[in-house]
Amino acid sequence: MNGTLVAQQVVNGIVTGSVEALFALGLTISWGVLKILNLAQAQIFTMAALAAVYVGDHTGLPLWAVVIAAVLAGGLLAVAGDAVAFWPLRRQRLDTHAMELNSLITSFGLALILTGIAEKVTDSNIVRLPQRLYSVHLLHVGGVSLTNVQLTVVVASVVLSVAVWWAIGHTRAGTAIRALAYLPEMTQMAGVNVSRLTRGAFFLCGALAGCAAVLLSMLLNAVDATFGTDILLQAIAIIVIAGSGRILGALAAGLLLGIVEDVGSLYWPANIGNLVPFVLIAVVLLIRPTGLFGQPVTSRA
Amino acid sequence: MTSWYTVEMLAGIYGIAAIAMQLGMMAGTLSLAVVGWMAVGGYFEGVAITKWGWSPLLALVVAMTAAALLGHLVVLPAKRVQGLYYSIITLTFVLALQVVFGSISYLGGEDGIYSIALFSNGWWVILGLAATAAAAAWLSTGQRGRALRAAGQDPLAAGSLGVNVIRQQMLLGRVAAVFGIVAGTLYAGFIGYVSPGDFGFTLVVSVLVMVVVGGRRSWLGAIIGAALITVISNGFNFLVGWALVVQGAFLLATMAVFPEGIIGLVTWVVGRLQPRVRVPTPVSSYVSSHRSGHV
Repeated sequence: MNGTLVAQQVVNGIVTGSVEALFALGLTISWGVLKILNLAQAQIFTMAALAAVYVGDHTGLPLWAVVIAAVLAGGLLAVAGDAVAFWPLRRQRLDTHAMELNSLITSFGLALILTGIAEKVTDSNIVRLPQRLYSVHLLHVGGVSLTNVQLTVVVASVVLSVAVWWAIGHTRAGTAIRALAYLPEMTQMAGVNVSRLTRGAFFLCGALAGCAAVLLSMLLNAVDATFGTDILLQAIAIIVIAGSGRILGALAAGLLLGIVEDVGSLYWPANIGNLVPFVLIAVVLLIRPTGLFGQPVTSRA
Repeated sequence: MTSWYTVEMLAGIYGIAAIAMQLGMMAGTLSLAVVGWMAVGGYFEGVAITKWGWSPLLALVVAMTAAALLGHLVVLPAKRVQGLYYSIITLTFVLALQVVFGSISYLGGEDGIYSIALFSNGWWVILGLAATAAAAAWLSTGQRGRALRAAGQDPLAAGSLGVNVIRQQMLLGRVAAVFGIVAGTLYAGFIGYVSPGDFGFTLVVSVLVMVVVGGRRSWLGAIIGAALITVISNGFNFLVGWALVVQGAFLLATMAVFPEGIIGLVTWVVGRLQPRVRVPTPVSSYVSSHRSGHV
């Protein structure tokens, strides 16, 4: 097989993998910290992309403002989703096992509602970000070509992942979030406003989804009602590979998954390639259920 | 609007799948594999009838036997993983089957299999539903039922009391497989075609909504939920196009207000209507409590 072709597919894999990792980041924080596997993250992602398209179409705002609009849309939607779906569960004071199961079930409901709304809004059509927001140039680096959009996507994803990892490890709010993941009651006793912190964590997850949504809609140049659901499976694979709550692990797993899928597509037919996430999920869960990157962050505050 | 006959048939078919999921939830696990087995049943029926010329009943019996023997393979990872990972494994099974069936040209690819003989009628569905309900009732009563519910409340404590939780999950895996085959077969014989899109995420969530809204502690709840949700999703003109939103809203409302579903609500109301009876405290308990207080 041609070496340049492989190198090109590695680059393409890094591009897809990095945006999938950014999407998985919100999901893994939600699972690791809040103990909620929020499947509705996929629909929050879709709605944020639709919000970006709407703002781009109906205002003359530049790209950065559209990104902020999508980030706000994603964050606020996640907080609103928490208020209608997960907050009532927290009030029931269930034990950990029941809470995990019930929040997963509830997130299915939230996902259904948002899917229904997304289908109504798009009328099952494909929409696009307006072309005035960005232009696409082709860059050539040592025989491998990539567009400025692809480069932006990779840089933004890596910078955001590292920033979130740093913030959770080194800031006061990050310490509080880790404490919340470890011992919620003690965190409350230590004077942290737990309900505000939970809302903040939800906002963060939604905001990350919003940011990833704009990046992916620039990359694919198409948004539809199943925009988020299409990469939900990759995101779950990334979390399972990395272990829940592992932030840099999710980035690494995302890049790994992207490279395996895109380089592999040179060797196997497309429909076999679709099975890669399934195979990885099954293999990792069977061999090392805590993920490749060690214990979940939640067990060590 | 869909005809009432269609709504009734679909309610019965989904009811069978919902009972399988309900049994798992009673035992504390959310297994979504039943939808994958529906796909297997539907496709096997389709292939056996249209390509091999088998009779529907023969195909059903063969598929059910195979499912009873192999159904636990899907939940084999349960030996290593528990909780949410278990749900993820089963969801992965469903979605992977969709991809596999969609890419095999013998099975018609994304288009699926057409012109399957329409053999399902009301009697088939009533018989299937009655048989699965009876099996579920048998599994949920007596010591078997108590063991399942104990595992659902606290797997660790149940295990320490001698319940083999893993073996239980393997059994439930086989049960879900057989029920799924029955539901899938009836579906194929009623609708007349199967395609990968029919057995995906949407159906997984629909069946889940049925179980939760109806009441996850009892097989009767699964049937009630299947009937209610199918009627609401298909039976009213003004709700056409809003089925997903309505189902989601039902699920959220149930989880927030009465997590035990309609069955739980009815039990609660009946409990409130009955006059409170004051049971006099037996003297012996006073004696024993005083004694222990002094020691």
